[in-house]
Amino acid sequence: MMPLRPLAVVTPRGEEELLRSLAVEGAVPLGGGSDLIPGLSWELASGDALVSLAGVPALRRTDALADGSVCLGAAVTLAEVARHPLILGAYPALADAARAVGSWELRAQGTIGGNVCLATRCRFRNQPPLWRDALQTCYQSGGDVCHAAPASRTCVAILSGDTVPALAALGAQLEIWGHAARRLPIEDFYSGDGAHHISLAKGELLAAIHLPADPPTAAFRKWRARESIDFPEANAAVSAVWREGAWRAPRVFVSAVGPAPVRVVAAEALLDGADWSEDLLRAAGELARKAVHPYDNGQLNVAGRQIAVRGLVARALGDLQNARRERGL
Amino acid sequence: MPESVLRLIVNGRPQQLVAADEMTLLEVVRDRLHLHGTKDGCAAGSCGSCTLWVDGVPRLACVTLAKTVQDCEIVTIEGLAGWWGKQHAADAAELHPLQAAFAEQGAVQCGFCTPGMVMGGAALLRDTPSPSRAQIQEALSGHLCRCTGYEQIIRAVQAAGRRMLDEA
Repeated sequence: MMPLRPLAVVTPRGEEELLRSLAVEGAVPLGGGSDLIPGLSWELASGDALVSLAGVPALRRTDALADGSVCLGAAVTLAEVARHPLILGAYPALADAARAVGSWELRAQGTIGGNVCLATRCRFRNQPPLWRDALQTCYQSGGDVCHAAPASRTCVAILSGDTVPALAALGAQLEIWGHAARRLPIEDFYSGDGAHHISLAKGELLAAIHLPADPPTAAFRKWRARESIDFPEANAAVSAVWREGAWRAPRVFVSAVGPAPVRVVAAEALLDGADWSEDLLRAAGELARKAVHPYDNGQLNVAGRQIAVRGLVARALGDLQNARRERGL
Repeated sequence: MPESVLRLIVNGRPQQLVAADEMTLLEVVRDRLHLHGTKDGCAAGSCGSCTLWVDGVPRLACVTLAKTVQDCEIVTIEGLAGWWGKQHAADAAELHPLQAAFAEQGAVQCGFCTPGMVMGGAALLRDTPSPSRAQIQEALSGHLCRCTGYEQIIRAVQAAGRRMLDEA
């Protein structure tokens, strides 16, 4: 393997020490490292000091709070998310999304916070340094060109975290620590620029994910090249609340088709309170297809990914219908 | 270059060494402890050939920094038979049943993926004594084999599972 260039690994035990370590120039948070370590070895990521989150108890907890919501620490592993009774019971779509990430070994290591903050991916950049040397330096590597979208003024690399659309459909909020703690809905966390895709200032850290009390019914679907361990070529999650004989307040999110998740407002308007016939679900899928504009920087081609989006959304909506019938509503 | 004293229990034996912070667990195991059974394949977490156990959990050594597993118990393919023997009060065990089954079922061709496959499969059998075919496929989905076509590997896990149940 390519040895990593010299760096320091810092292992804080408490919150204050953690924030102090992260405020230092060149400090980078280290969750499970399953994406960061290969990124460092291929010079896709950089950092002088990796600050491990694993030793900070507050980031490792899954807590049911008094108001009925659930707080997931950023350093909880994806394997723990996928099998935790609180998640399986109230947020099964999130467990499905966590289980769709990587392999058994990668989920034992990778964290939910790491998946939400996962570096964007692009076929023209996620390559060994020698391969990249043959191309002009792209936006994300500090250059001034995008090989996937030559007319674009920003990087269009793909947001590849599977838990992102599931969390967005569920209405999750992110708790950020830094100079001042703040909270924001997960869909507002992504800037749309693949080179700086998450809104974290220097010294800030994604500390926890808050899942709402009384969550809507939700479903997650993913499409990838190999069913076994691949990153998504497209993924989608939907949610809605069954009230007075109809689905209300639907939320439709598609991701892995650009640097940020896409909320399909047109599909939500179509679905709200309507009779969810098979044709209506297909129509909602078609609106989702029209709402996304993937570039040719995944593994599979653009047309295939667009068609997949249509199918993923229609099927995820079908999953909601099935869940309702199973509960006899 | 920051260094620290690394304490690990590897295959039941305490180890202490000075290692640079950026050293991966794979480098420590292969280059410092000279346990070459754990293979260095893709070095990017994609192939599964560096799988070993950290406190009983199958992990990829190539994407694990050694310093982050300070004081942990590591089991590599070299120590699997010993671990199995200890579990069954038969410290003379030469092979874990899954290793024997791999040999019997022809699940080894070039052998490069084998240590990782065995470490993943043995963890599955420890936690799920009689896994379904789908469970085996899911558990080994992070392990690439370019020779066997996987069929013999799945059969070996099934055969080892049956034998372990019979003997229990």
